[in-house]
Amino acid sequence: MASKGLELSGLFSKLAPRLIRAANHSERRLMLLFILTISLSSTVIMNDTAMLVFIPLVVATSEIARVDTARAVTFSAIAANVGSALTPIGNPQNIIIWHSYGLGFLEFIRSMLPFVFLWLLVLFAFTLTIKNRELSVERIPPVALRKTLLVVSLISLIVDVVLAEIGRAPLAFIFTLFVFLVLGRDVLRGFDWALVLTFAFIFIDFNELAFLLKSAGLMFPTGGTGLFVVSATLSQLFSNVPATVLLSAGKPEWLPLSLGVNIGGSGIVVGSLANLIAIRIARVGVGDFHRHSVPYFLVALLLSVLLLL
Amino acid sequence: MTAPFPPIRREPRTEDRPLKPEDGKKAVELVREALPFFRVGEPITHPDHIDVPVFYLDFAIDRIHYDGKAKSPRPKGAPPHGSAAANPGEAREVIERALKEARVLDAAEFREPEDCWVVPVAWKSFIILHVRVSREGEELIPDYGLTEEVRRYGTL
Repeated sequence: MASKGLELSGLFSKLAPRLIRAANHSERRLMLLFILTISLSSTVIMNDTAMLVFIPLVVATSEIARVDTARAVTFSAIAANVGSALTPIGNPQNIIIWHSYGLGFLEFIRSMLPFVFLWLLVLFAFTLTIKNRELSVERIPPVALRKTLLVVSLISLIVDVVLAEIGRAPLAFIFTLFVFLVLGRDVLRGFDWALVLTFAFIFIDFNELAFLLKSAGLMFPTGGTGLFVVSATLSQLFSNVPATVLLSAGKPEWLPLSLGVNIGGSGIVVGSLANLIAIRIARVGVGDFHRHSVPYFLVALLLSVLLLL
Repeated sequence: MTAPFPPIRREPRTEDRPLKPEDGKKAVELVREALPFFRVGEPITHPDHIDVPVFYLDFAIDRIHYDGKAKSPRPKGAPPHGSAAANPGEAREVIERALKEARVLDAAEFREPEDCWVVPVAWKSFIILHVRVSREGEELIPDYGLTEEVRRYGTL
């Protein structure tokens, strides 16, 4: 809810014109700035929310500047998946792992940081393959900021994280609900309640599946590179949130699991919901998306395995 | 015939910054700069007509009425009735084309209750879109209600 408030405040849309100006007519620099901004934003707003906010900007800029839209959208989706991997609140699979393992907020970030840094470096390396054309876009007009909503959402986000850290997550929910009921009712109307329900059903279904597989004697690796590769592969097959629920039921080591399901969000389009949102908004073909995302996934996976060994 | 009650009026605002003709001009110029970035969203199907929302970045700006019979936009303020059978995909394509041909008119209206400029955008001979701009003419003001309506019932 706090993330939704940040999005509706217009904060991220306000950043967009500054990015264009900072790109200084360079296509490559613009892509690097998009990647940096989207990945940083995804650490506090969910990766799928980041797609709702930034993909319209990426598409509009790409069309005006005659840049390869499919590539720009794919790199943006990867940036959202990579950035969101850093914090426990960046995406649903991290929230699940953070809660079910009772990890500290900073402990989670510290462990993920070297890998997120590596994945970002790989993405930057991919952007170097872009021919550095001169952009014709000079200025994008700004959108008005809703200052009250911005302040309320930022305070809610901080209070929520603190309350969750001291084990008072239900209180955080009540607090946020009350605050937005009084000061930002459109956030509650805009919040995707159906998505929460969907995740609840995924949790129930895949927990049951994990129980059945365990009863049938089928075991998954419980740690190390084996768990990392299996969780990344399962994420490619049926998305990273179900893969997290399925694998976390056996309580394996949390870090390889978290790394696997996060890098597994890139690659095949079904890997994460953010990818699907991105291609739907941008009307990019699945083939065009895979042309850029699959090579990235394979390189990042290989380098992560080497780092884990 | 007179109304039984006088219309409800707000207290006049105390202006912290007087309106200047240059601000209206700035508002018009701002919309001119933003127009190439406007994109159409998923059409909203009403019981008797179709509206097509127009987006700037991730926020809706306004809606354009679509005339399914004439296969063209309708003037602002005159939604067509009885075109429920119109195809939303076709509506989107037609409005996309119209938006490319649209032009920003050279003057703006100021709406005191909303404290903003409203800049008209025309297609051929009539206005199809109203774009709200801040009092200083420096920022576009989205239609938050419409943004939520589209997100709840469709996609961007």
